[in-house]
Amino acid sequence: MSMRWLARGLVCVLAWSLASAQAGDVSPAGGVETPLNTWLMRVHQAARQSVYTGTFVVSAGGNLASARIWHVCDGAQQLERVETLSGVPRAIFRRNDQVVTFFPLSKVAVAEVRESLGLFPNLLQSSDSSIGDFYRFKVLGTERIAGFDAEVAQLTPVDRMRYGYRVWSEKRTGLIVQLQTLDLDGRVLEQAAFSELHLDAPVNAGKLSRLGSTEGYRVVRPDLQKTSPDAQGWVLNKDVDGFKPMGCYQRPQAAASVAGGNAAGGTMQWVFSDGVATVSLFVEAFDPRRHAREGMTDMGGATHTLTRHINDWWATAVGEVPPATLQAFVLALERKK
Amino acid sequence: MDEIKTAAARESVSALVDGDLRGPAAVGALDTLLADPQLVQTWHTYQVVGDVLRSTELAPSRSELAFLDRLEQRLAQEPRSPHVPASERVPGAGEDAALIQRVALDRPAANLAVFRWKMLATAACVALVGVVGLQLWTLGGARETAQMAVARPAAVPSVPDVVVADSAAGTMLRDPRLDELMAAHRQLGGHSALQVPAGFLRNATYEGAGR
Amino acid sequence: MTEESVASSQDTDLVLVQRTVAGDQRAYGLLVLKYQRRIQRLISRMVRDVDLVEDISQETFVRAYRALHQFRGDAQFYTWLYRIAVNTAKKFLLELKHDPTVAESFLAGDDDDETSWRKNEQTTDEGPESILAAKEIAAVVNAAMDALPPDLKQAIVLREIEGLSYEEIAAAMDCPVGTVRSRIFRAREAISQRVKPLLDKQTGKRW
Repeated sequence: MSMRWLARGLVCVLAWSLASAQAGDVSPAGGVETPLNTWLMRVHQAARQSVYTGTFVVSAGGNLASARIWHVCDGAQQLERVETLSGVPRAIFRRNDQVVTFFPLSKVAVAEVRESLGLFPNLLQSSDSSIGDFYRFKVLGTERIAGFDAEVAQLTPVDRMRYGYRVWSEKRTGLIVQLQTLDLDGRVLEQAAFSELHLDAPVNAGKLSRLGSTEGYRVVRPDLQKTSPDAQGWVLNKDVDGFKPMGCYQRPQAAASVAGGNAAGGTMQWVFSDGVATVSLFVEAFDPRRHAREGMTDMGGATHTLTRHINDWWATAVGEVPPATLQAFVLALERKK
Repeated sequence: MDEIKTAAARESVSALVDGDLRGPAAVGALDTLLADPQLVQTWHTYQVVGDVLRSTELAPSRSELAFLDRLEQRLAQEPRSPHVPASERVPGAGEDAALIQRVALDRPAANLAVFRWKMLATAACVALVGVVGLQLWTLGGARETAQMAVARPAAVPSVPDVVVADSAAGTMLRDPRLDELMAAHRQLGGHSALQVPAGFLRNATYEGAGR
Repeated sequence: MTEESVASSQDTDLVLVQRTVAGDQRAYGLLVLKYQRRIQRLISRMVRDVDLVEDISQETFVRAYRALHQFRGDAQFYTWLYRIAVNTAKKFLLELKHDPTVAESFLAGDDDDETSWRKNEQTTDEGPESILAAKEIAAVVNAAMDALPPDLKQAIVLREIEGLSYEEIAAAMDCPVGTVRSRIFRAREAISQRVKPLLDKQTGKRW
């Protein structure tokens, strides 16, 4: 491994430690130290700090999608570029939590801020972090993936409200090289893996950076506002085991929406997570022209959606969880009294 | 299989080896081949013969079936695309069969009516069959849906275009609104430790057509 | 679609790929049975250790399986598979280079120096029985060919060695395509009858 890239790796680690106060990106000092939490932190950091390029393939619900990925940690910032190899041509450029998605066919660039990308460490840090209460952690052994020795670990859910995972993390860096989501019978629902991977590959951060230029593209910034379920008038009358609310957002007029959005008040998105799986509860005003079918839809792989008509409202729950979990959310959702 | 059928089947395998069968004939011959281990062995033998004729170096020195066996065990770990035969498409009462695709997958929560893809909104009522123990999704709900559907005939244009996509797994209906919500979920729902790079690829196959 | 092009075994390849992508893993098995010998020969030119050749071959087919949706069918499947094999082998070799415990003799063509063969303890060679088994198969194919009636022999030579299509063979042999198909089939049957018992022996069991 070239010394230059080793040095860069160290710089990244230092930079992260320095920036940690602001980014909140620290080891679980305040949280509970368990093998699971330590491991989770390691794989999480590896994705941010490693330098790599590769081809990534996701298989979900009978369909495959793949992309080329370049990722570099350059001093205090992460740069990433993802170019889809299948489906609608897209290139995603990310600088930390600023994400721009380029659609070359329509020459549209969508610019967003993805806050969630920095929040996991906070989850672990909080004193009532309980990921370990809902997943059992076990190291299974070693396997070779994409030419690298990887440690295989399994996360087994303790209840039927979430799926299990088998995770292959590259031994030296902790980078996840393969991830399987398992259903309640242990069968593979979806798989994401590098079909080829170069670690510490020489990525020219400057060049990569220039690929983030929106010149020639019409830039769209979806309007997204932080709010609270309270302000929106909603509560969950019953917690769903293991899932904590992570944030609540409002998308006003769906001017940028293809599908017509909503005239009155936009759509609320209330996000939950158990540290591994996430669920979004979307609520909008009911529109009989568009909201015709209540029920569960299998989106392929681990993701399901569930819709429900609640008085003047229409709720859609989306998540990589078993249908029963989405049900629990949707049944617990009610108007504030 | 009697002698004549066997010989005919083997001759089909021979034709498949050379790509001489095409269209429906090929499909039928392939179905037969794949279903019969003896015929697969025939395929294997024919392939070995061809290779050895071209180069004696290619004569196998170890069991190739064992190689395949080992490989299949590894591939068994890979996610399988659910193969939905046409016969599993269940038409609802009184509307186009193609619009509804109900897949009996070996999934948990079998007591829920799980639709693989969102139904075309203009279709007539589809009873939510097999829903057990969920008070909310009663026939009342279904009836309501039917009424709304029936009342809508002239309002078709206001329904967002549902994209019908052809793929190897069959014809699927994609709902742009669900696509949007999926994308929104990906955008803000990344609170997972197991964030894989390009986790968005999960919904790459049912995304909306650009934005 | 343009006019029908001459049928070739590539058409079957494409159908098998499509089937696999659609969910039928058995179709992939047919592709493996067709190409594993060529892939293993290719890799054995880069790597000496017989077990490692097998590992890399396995890995190649796994990667190809995962990437199948990327195969467009506008080029030969084997060409596509070939590239995957070469890349897979290269990666293995790069990893081995970084591993100080690995004997240099793993790496074929790495060093023409005779001394590199000294550290043979980690290299697995093909055992004598395996080598013999392969020789037997080759011999039996030759003998069977010699015993074929001329028209059957010509048909299968034109197909398997010259690579002509059925239509071209029909023209060359001045007979209908149906006759070509039948002659090739009978030639294959005659040769297979002698080869199959040897293949069964390798497997050690009847499938």
